[in-house]
Amino acid sequence: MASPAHTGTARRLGVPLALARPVAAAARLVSRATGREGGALPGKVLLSLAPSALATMARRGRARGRRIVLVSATNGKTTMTAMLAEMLAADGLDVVHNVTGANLRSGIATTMLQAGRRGDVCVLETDEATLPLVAPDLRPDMIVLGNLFRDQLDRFGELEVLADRWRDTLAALPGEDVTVVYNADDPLIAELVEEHVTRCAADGIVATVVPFGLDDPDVAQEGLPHAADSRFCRRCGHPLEYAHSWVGHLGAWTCPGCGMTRPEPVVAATSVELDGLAATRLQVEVPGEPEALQLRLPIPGLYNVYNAVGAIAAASTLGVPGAVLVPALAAAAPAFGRFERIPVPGPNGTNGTITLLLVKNPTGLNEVIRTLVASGVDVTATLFALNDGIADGRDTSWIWDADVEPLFERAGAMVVTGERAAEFGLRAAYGGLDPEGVLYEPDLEQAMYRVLERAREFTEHGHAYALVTYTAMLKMRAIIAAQGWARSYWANEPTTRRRRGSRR
Amino acid sequence: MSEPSPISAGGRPRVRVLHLYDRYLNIYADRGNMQVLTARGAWRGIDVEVRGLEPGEHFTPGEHDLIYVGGGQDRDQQMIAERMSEDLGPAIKAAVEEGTALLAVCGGYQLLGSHYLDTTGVHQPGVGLFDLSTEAGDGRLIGNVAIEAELPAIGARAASTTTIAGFENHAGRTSLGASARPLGSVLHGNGNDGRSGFEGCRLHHAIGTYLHGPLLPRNPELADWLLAAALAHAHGTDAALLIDQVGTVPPAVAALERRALDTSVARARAERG
Ligand SMILES: [Zn+2]
Repeated sequence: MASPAHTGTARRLGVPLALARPVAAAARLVSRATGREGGALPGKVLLSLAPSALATMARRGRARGRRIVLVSATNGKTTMTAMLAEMLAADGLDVVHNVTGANLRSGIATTMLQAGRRGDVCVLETDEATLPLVAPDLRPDMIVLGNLFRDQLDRFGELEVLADRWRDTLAALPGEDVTVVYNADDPLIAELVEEHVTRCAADGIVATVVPFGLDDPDVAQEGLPHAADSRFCRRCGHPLEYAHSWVGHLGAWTCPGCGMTRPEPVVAATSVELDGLAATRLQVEVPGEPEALQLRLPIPGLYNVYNAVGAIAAASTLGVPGAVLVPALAAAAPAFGRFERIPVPGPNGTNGTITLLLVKNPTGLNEVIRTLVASGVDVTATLFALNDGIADGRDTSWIWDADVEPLFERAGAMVVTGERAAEFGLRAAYGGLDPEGVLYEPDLEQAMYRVLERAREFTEHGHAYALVTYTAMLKMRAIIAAQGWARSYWANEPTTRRRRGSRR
Repeated sequence: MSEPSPISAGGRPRVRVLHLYDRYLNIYADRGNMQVLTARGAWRGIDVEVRGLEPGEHFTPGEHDLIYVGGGQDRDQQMIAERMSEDLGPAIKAAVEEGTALLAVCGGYQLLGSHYLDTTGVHQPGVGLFDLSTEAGDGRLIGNVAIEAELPAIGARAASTTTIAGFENHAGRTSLGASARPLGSVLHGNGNDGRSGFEGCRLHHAIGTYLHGPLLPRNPELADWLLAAALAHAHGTDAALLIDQVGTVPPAVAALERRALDTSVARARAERG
């Protein structure tokens, strides 16, 4: 057998970061020129030349006082990260923040490479399976754990396995250095954080943990949805009981078997008012603030309340005062493809819109539908684009675990598109939609024109809604940009965040 | 042979489906398979009644025409395995012997063998309906899969050979015993163990398989075969023919089914060669 020693050694030792950096910068130009969105290529090149680059960049930043916050969750991590970055920037910090799609190891390396020596704090959206791969190198000051839902089982294996890996990730970090901000309403996460606290205590360390959650029974679900994932206690196996549940299996839970119960949230939304697709009002209790914060989020949905509360918990722990974070959140724009409304010029000067709704797993789809339906908007012109790329999940069975029926009842008809269009067509037909109302058009661009025609013909204001999986979203965004209706994803994303007027 | 079940009010033939441990074994869109049975039944002019079963409950063999067993996460399955083999093992075997149709998918399929040695080294007892055993292997077998299956004759309803496609995602490698007959042979993908070329298992009118996706929406021939077998159990073997005689599936649905199956097979071919 030929010895791989030569290349093996080179790979292991790597080239000095100073030499690897220009090559990676060149890769960045290539990546831009070829239009690869997400910008993970430079980081990929860098890591292949200098495998320890991530640790080196983190260490050098730390020596200058730059902190690192990792934000991970199955659903909402892009929004939560953007909200946190927004609040920290409003507080006068120079924030390094990765863009959506760059949440794998290579994307994080790209973000840190581009930041160079800049930044007071890195706020990094981190893919759930990537968190265990980057945390040991980055040695974060804070980890924010949002939620764990069933998602892309073809990629991650099972949910329990992911929870185990997160537990091991916390165990491998120095307990005195990392603050864990976590969703107390998610029993899987609460249990693994409690293990972390117990383990630290055994080493004589008091772990710093900040539980957040919801506390408004008025907006609770009627019962756990079909797609609720965590029905059993992770510790003793007994079925969990819920006083209230808000999104999927997130709620005020307790285990009758071993007595484990939801930790009291330190940062909690105590009153939530959902105002259609336009906005959400909420009241949030934050320690250290004399009164509960009154917030208006310009985005809909109860799941975004979780994102806001998690981001607030992280921001206030990092020292952002309520007077700064309230206006910062009020200005938060929807993240790419999350209830993003795009104006579409129609014939005769009339204007309509197409609203893009990213969907990728049963709980996410449930919440998008729940929000759409509760808002009372006219969903007559609705499109569903189902692709099965790796980023979408190759296994399309998740569409059958979501409660899509309320949408079918109101939509009456639906354009189905994407590479697995027929699969969603069947979901609709078996979910009670009149099969004649299933408009099958596998071509994304044509499907978009069909749904806009339908919007103009059958709805008062010409508003269309597009529920789309990740790679279909990228393609649809490109079509929209080519039409000149919206700027490309590229142009929209700031690669560096401008430093705002310092308040300190 | 059980007593024929009554024709439902309105004179439509009726089949009764039992969904075992439906609240726990439902990970890969098992609900979709149920929706196909009920909606397809309705289009065909057959009333399909589904009822679930909780752990700790029992059932009487012959009282149902079709039994469905879905898959669970490893952990849920561990907790369910013992209950199922102890509480329901004899009833499931007796039901299949007297002609009840059965479909078991993924984890449910594993539970119906003699045992399952899972990824954590825990030995889960099986029902022992199928002559097969399963052991977790290195890495999961994940991807689109297509097989060629033989669906046997039911009374006067002819046997057929058909391509079935789905998605597989399993750590278990299943070995068929000497008396076991596979559901089909693998065209593209892994199947039972990634080596033998076999997929699934069949005994009388019982089928076990790793294919989900869910299985029935994109494999209408299999859905009809199961309904035919359930009709035969409910109303006598001649009733199997009813599936092809009463009512029709809307043409728009039939067109979507063809496209969904074609795409699924094409995916398996492209991925797995
Ligand atoms: Zn417990």
